Amino acid sequence: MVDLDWNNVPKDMCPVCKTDKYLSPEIQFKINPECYHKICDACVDRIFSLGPSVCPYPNCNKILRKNKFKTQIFDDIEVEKECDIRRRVLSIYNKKATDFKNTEEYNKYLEEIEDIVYKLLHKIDVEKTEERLKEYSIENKQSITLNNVRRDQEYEKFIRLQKLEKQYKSKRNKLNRQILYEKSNLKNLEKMTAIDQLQESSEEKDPEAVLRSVKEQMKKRSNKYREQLDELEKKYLRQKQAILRNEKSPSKKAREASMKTPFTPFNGDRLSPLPYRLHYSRYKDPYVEKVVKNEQFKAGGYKIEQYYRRSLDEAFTGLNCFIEEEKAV
Amino acid sequence: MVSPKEETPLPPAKPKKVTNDDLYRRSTQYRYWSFTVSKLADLRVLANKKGLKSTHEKLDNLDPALEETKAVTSNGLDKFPFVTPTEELQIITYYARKCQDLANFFRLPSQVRSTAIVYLYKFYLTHSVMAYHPQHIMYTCLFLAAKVENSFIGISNFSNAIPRTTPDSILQYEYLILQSLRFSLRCHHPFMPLYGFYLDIQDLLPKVDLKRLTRSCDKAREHISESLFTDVFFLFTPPQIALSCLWKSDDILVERYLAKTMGLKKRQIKGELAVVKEVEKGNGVSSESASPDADPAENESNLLTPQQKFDKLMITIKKCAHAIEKNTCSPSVDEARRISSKIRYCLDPIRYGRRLVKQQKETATVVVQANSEQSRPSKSGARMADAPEGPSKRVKTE
Repeated sequence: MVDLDWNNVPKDMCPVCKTDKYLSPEIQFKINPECYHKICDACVDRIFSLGPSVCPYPNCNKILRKNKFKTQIFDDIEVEKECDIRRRVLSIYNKKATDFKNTEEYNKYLEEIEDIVYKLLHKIDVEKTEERLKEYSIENKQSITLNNVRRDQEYEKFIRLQKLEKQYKSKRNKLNRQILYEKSNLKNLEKMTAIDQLQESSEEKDPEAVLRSVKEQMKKRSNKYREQLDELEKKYLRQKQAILRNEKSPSKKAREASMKTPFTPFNGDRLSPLPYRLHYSRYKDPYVEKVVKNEQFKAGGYKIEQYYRRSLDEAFTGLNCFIEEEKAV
Repeated sequence: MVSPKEETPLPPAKPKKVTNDDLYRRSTQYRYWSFTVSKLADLRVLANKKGLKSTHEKLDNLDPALEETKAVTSNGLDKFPFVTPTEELQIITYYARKCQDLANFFRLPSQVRSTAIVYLYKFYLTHSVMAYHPQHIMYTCLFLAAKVENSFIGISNFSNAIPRTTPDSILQYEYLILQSLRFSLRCHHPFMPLYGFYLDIQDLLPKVDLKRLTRSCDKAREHISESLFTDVFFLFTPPQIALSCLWKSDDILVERYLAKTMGLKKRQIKGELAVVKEVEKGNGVSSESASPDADPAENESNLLTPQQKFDKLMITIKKCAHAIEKNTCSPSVDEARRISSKIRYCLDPIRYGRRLVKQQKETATVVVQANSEQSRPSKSGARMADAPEGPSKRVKTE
């Protein structure tokens, strides 16, 4: 058996279990960003299921964890590596051109990023650059999180735009199809009526008029579709603008507005002044006072003020409703 | 197109002002159960017509082969004891008073009693006594009102206490009543407003003797109980009824109190009261002519001067008091019996036929006896003359 050259593993073969694509076509390779050594799916399961373990490649000695393994996207490991590093650096160095006073500063900033990426990729002063990254992230913690949030929002906006466009296109296609269908119908009809006309030329009714009316109808319908199409386009553009302007959709806005206004049972606040004055101390009712003195009543939370208030309220509820006038219609 | 609302951001909702009167206007009592005088009369006539129609249908459905049916038809439909709208109101009032007695028997609070009576009146705005006998409906109304007003009585206890009823006979009308009430069960009675005025008078007129006030209020409560048997519940709002009942027991107090609430001075009241009294002297005609004058001002009721407001309210209160006095009727037992038997005939026309047949037989024997004594007057003629009077006599003596 030929010894495997670990530094130059064949493309379609797992160096650990020696399986290759030829014998098991559903083989999948995974890599770990620690060392970028490729291992097949089955081996990852087998070796790392019980916890972190050492990379099976000789002289690697990196400790790998299962949850860090991922499928390789680029064929070239170097590209893959760079992408990972870039992603990591960019999540920290995430300022935008608008954050800088002039292009020069921005360019400097970009240069710095490239510098770091290059150094990390080629393992030049790794520790120093790592330190630099860390320092920067601590210094600009707030702006970093802010920018990240902003980026997420932009992404969401993009997704929404895409969705909207998709919807718009499908609707437009549907309408277009309908218009085409109407057109072909119109043509067919013309042919049919022409034949009919030839057949029954002695018909009393004016065949021209009939035909015209049918045509009118058809045209109207197709015009309607066209109008709908125009409307759709307008709506689409408006919604797109709204999304670009970072506005929320109207329904969402209304919902939020309704959530902000407090609930009132009669769809409005009772701000009008009370038609009576509440002077609890002035009200005397020997019977009720006797009741209130009884501890048993008070224990349940009975409050004579509430009773007074309710009575007064009812006394002025409908006092100025004159039924004879108001219902006389 | 999309409405411009979607594009422009919504303006912050302005809180609306809602007065107590607006609240009352939203109540079912105002929306469904408040009518003008003429509308109320129309409703009653309509209900009566409905009852007539159903009785006619029953008459048509009688088996023509029966002897009783023949008696009814030969007697003539115009002589059939249909119930008139006035009689309907009388019998309903009679049973409303019965309802009061029954509620007192069960020791139910006045709230329940009033609600039951109001339910009874409301029910007969859509139905006629010729379709449902008020006695049965009254029981169910009381049972329902006790339930609604939180003084529940178990159905078996309830029907045990009332002779000749079963739980089923009471419950069978429950849904029907609920339906005719348009499922609006809340009744605003004038008792609570009266108490509110009792308190407010103490605040605004502290010089008034408390004993006098209490006495007036107690009397007013009696007036309110009495007002249940009139139409004022449908024509006026509870505070207005309360005030007019208080006015009936102590007119000076109410006038002074209202003047104080409107912010009028004493002299002004006296001058204006004279005007109001003049209006009253002219009786219904002039007081009614006063309300259309106020009509255009209705929308700007806030623009009315306190004086005008005061006058308007006083006129309403007096009208209400007048209505309570005028409408109060307590039909006698005899009268109630007469109407009740009429109702029974309407509900089951065959009974009337039976009565007629019996009557005819009796008169026939009388005639035969007379004939044996006299020299043969025409038999049929005597019968024709006697028959119409016969049943009505029977009814009266029943």
